[in-house]
Amino acid sequence: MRPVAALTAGLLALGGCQESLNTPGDCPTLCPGEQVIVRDTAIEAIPASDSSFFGYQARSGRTALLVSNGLAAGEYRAFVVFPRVRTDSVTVDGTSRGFTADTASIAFTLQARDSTATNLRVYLRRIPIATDTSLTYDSLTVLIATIPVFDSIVVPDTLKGGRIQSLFTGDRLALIQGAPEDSGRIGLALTVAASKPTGVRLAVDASSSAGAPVFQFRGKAEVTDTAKRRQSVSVRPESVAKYGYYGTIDLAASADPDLLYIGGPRSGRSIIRFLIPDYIRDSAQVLRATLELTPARPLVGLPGTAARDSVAVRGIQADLGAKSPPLPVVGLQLAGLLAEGTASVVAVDMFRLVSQWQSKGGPPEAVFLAHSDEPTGGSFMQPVFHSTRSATGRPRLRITYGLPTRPGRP
Amino acid sequence: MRHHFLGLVLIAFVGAGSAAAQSSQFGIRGLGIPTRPLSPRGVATGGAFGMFDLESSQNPASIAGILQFTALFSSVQNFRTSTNPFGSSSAKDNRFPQIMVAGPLGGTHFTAAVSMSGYTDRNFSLGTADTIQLRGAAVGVYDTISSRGGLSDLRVAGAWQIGKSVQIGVGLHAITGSNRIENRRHFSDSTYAVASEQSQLSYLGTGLSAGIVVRVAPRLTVAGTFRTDGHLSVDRDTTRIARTDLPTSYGVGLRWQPSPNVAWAASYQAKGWSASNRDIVAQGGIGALNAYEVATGFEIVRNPRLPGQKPLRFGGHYAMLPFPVRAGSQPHEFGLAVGTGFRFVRGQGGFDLALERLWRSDGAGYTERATLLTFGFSIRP
Repeated sequence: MRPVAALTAGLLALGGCQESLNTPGDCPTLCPGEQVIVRDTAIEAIPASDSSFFGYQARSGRTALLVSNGLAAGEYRAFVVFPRVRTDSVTVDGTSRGFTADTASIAFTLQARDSTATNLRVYLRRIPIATDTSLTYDSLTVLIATIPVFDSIVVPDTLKGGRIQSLFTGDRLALIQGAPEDSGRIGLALTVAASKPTGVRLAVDASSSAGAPVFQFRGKAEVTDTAKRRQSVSVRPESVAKYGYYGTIDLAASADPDLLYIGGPRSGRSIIRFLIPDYIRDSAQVLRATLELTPARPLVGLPGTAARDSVAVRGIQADLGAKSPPLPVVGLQLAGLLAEGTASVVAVDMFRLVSQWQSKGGPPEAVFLAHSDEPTGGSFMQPVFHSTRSATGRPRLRITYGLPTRPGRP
Repeated sequence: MRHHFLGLVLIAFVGAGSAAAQSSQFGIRGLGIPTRPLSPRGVATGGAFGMFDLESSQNPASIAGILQFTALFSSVQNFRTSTNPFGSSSAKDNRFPQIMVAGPLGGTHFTAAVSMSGYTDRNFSLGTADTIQLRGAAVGVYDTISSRGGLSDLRVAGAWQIGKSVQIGVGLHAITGSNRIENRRHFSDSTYAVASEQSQLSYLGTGLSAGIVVRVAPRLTVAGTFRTDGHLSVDRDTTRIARTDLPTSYGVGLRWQPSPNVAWAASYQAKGWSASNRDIVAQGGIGALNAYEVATGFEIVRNPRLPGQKPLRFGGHYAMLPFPVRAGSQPHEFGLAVGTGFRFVRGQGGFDLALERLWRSDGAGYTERATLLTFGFSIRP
C-alpha cells in the first residue's frame, strides 16, 4: 500500500507541472485567425477649437527668482528685501540675552544654472528697504545702474544646485550695516555674470521654507553656560511684496490669437480639443498615442541645465473653456520635454489619457497645456506653438491602434 | 451508496470543462485533435481493448460487465516536441481525459454509467516573429495566438446483459466545450502597448451511440459500435455564428483469450469527419477529412482471479487525423504504449498506469513526438 501511495503522490506532483504550450508558427499559414491588425494615423485638433488663456498664477505665488545676463530668453533682474533683525540681543532659554555678532551671511538656494557657463557669480547690490513689487524691469535696472556692487557670491563650476552664500566677517561686517532706522533690514538687487551669457534660478517664498533666502548673524551670547554661548539669529523674506523678478520678454503681452502660449510671466495655458473617430474610440485598442506640438519659434530658455523645461499636459474633467478643471488623477498628468534651443516637434505620450477617452463616460477629448514650472513661476522659456489656424505645424494626435480580428477560425 | 454515486456524478459534471486530452500542433485547425475516450487500461493496450473495457467510453455495451459501483478518474501528463517549417519547440501540459462513474441497477441485468471524456482538444499556443514599419521605423513584433479548451463528451449510457454471451448498450451524448482564444502582439519598442484581443467560442451538440459485445466462442469475443453525432452549434461570446455537422462513426473489435492469463485484442474504427468539411471551410478553416484508427494490444495477467493486479499491458495504434494543418496533407499518428495496474483494499481501490509514445506527422514538414503518462484512480466501494 505504501509504495502505491508514494507513487500516487509522485504522479499527482508530476501532474502539477507548469503548462507550456508554445509552438513556433507562421501566420497566416498556420494560424486559426488573423494577426492583430496594427495601423497608425494622425488626427488633427478640431479646427479653431484651440486657444490660449493667461493669468493662472499670480506674481505673488511665485517661488523662484530669475536672474540672467545676456540670455537669449531675456534679461532678468531680481530683488529681495529681508525683514528687520535684531543683532544686539538673542533669546536663550526663553530669556533675552546680549549678543555680539562676529559673522554674517546671505544665502540662497540655487535651483538651476547653465553648467557650461563657468566663473558664475551672483552680484549683490544694496537697494532701499522700501523697494517692493511696484517696480518694473526698467525701474529696477535704473536702480541697479546707480548702485555699486557691494559683494558677490562665487558659484563653483561644479555646483549644479544647492546652497550658495556670501560670508561677512571682521571688517566686511560693515558692508551689511545699515542706517539705525532700518532696524537691520536690508534690500538686495541681484545680477549675474559668467564666462558667457547665462542665468540662474533661485528659490524664494514667503513661508520661510528651508529653501528660501536667509540673512543670518552668528556670534556670542552673554550667558555663563559656554555650551550655549554660540548663537545665531536669522530672517527670511516674510512678504510677497518684498521680493520678485522682472524680465524683458513677455511674449503674451501682444499674443497672437492664432498661436498657442504656455508659461511666461502671465502663466499662459492652452486648450486643444480633438475628435477621436468612432472606429478608434469604439472598436480599436490604442497601442500608442502621441501629442505633437510644433513650436512657432525656437524654444529658448536656460541652456545646459539639468532642470529641463517641459510642457505639462492634462486631461480635463469637463470642458469649461479657460476654467476647465483638470483630471485629478496623477497618472494622467503627462509631460513632454522641451528641447532648449530648437524648434523641433514636441512629443507627449498620451497613451493613458487617450485610453481614458475610450471608456464609456470618459473625460472630454481635450487637453490643457501648461508649462511644468508654472507653479513656481520660474522658467526662462516661454514656449509658443502653432495652432489649428496655422498653415503648418498644427497640433495633432498620432495614434497607433490595433483592430480586432475575431480569432477563432476552425 | 446512493450518496456516493450522486456525489461522484456531480464531480463528473463539475469536471466537464476540463476533460480533454493532450495539446498538439495538429489540434490548431478544425475542431482540434480528436481524443480517445479510454481508461488507462485502454491506453496501455494501444486502444485495442477500448471496445471491451468497462472503464472506457468507446462502447456503451462494455459497461454491462460491471458488477459493482465503480468510479474512475484519470489524468495525463503530456510532454511533446513539435517541429514545423518555422522551428521546433518543446511543450508540456496536463489534462483529465476520462472521468466515469458506473454501476449495476440493483436486481436487474441493467447497468448505467455517466462519463466525461475528451472529444477534441484545442490547447495550443503559436508564436511568430516579424518586423513591421511604424511611424517610419522598423519595429519588431512578436505574435502569440493561444487557445485553451476543446470539446468534451458527456455520455449517459445504459447497458443490458442478455444471457451470458451478449451485451448491448446505448449512450446519449452531450458534446460541449469552449475555446478561449487570445491574440497578442508584443513590440520590440516598449513605447507601444501590447495589442491583445480575446474571443470565446462555445459549443453544444448531441449524439447517440449504440454498441454490442458478443462472446462468439469461449475464448473469442467481438464488439461493434455505431455512433452518430448531430451538429455542433458554435457561439462566439453570446452570438450564434455557425453550425458544424459532426461525424457518424462505427467500429469493430475482436478479443481472443488463448489462455486465462493472456488476452489479445484488435480494433478498427472509422469516423466520417468529412461531414464537417463544408461547414469548417465555410467558417474559414482548411477542412476536415475522414479518419480511421487501427489498434492492437495484449494484456497479460499474473492471476486471472485478480486481473487488475500488476498485469502487463502493451499495444499500438495507427490513426489518421481529420484536420489538416495545411491543405492537401492529412496528418497521421502512430503510437506505442505499455502499462500496468494495482489493486488494493481487497480490490476496492485501483491504480492504473500507461506510458505512451506518439509519433505524428503530416508528411509535409509538420512532425511531433509526444510522451504521455496516463494514470487513473478507481474505487469500487
